[in-house]
Amino acid sequence: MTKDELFLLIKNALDADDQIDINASADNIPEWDSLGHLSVLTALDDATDGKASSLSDLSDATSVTEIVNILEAQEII
Amino acid sequence: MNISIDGIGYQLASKKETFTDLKNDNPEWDMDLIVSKTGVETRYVSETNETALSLCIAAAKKLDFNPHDIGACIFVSQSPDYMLPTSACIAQEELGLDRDVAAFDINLGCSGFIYALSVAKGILSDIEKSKALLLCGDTYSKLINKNDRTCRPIFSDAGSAVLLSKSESKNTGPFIFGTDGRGYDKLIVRNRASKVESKFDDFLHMNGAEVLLFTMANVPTGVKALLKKANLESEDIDYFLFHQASAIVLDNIQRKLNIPDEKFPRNNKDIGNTVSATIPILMKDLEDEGRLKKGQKLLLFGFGVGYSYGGCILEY
Repeated sequence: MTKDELFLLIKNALDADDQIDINASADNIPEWDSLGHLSVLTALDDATDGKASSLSDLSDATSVTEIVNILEAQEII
Repeated sequence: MNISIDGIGYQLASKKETFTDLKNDNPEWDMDLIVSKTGVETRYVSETNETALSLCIAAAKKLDFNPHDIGACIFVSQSPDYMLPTSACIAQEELGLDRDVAAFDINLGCSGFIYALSVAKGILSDIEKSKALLLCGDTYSKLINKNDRTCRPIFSDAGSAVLLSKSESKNTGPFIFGTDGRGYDKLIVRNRASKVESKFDDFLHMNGAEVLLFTMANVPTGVKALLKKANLESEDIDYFLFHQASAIVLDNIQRKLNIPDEKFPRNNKDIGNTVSATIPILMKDLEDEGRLKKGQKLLLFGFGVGYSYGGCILEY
């Protein structure tokens, strides 16, 4: 998965009006609340063939930067 | 020796609450969004005088059985009437069961029905009496802050009763069980038992993201492991009956396991998440709809608080 694909995945999961980039987070994307984060997690899980569900740090990762860091550490992106 | 299910009854709490009621209490909640994630439109909330035990006893009284045949009474709940004594002892008296009965509680949540089935199967193989009563119920609403958007829209109060009997013809099992205590505080009620943690309140708290990750990581693999243990293929199962957690959880499980809609019944829209009672309530609804028939092969799977999960194959 590329970063651009990740951005699109998060935008679709949140059904966000705004573009998602590396600076997006729960602080500046209104759709990214606790319910929206569940959609991000399930979308990530689907896109990574289940690998994301074993990354418990993702539960608190409510910014694109945090998600990128976690996925890069696992060589998923 | 195996067991068969001779009857299922359930009793929902008396107060019906819709998403409109939730919106009235919390005008800032986006109910369309909440319902899209939870799948729950209607829940049942217990009145002050209703408890998990009273709901289960009401459910048991809907069943047709001779109290003298009952050799075990198991109450699965995390909302007991008292810290002690064991609620099942009260049920023994209120249901008029004989005194040579094994009556005890199991403190488990959403996985509890599966554990109790396995325990009941074991006890029935050790006693002369032929039947067991398995009561599953909870009243989580008494533990939820009315402004808690994570818990209140999901959980619902109910009691169920399942009548089990010894059987030589029906196949029950295999079972699988799992526990991950690292998640003990992800779905928790503090300060209502012995441990005092003064910096916390005594409401139910759920970290929805953590619980979702646990579910996604463990349930699909658990189902595959169970099928392998049973030497069965997915196509051999007539119904996959999962704990009715929430829509987003069920959607993920169904998608990952590629289970068709007709084999993946749900009833959480109209009933909500009744914790350990969801699977027996789902079975009863399916039976009442004429869809669940004797001889069908079922895969049951419960999961949640603990973390804990359990699954089994059951010939209905």
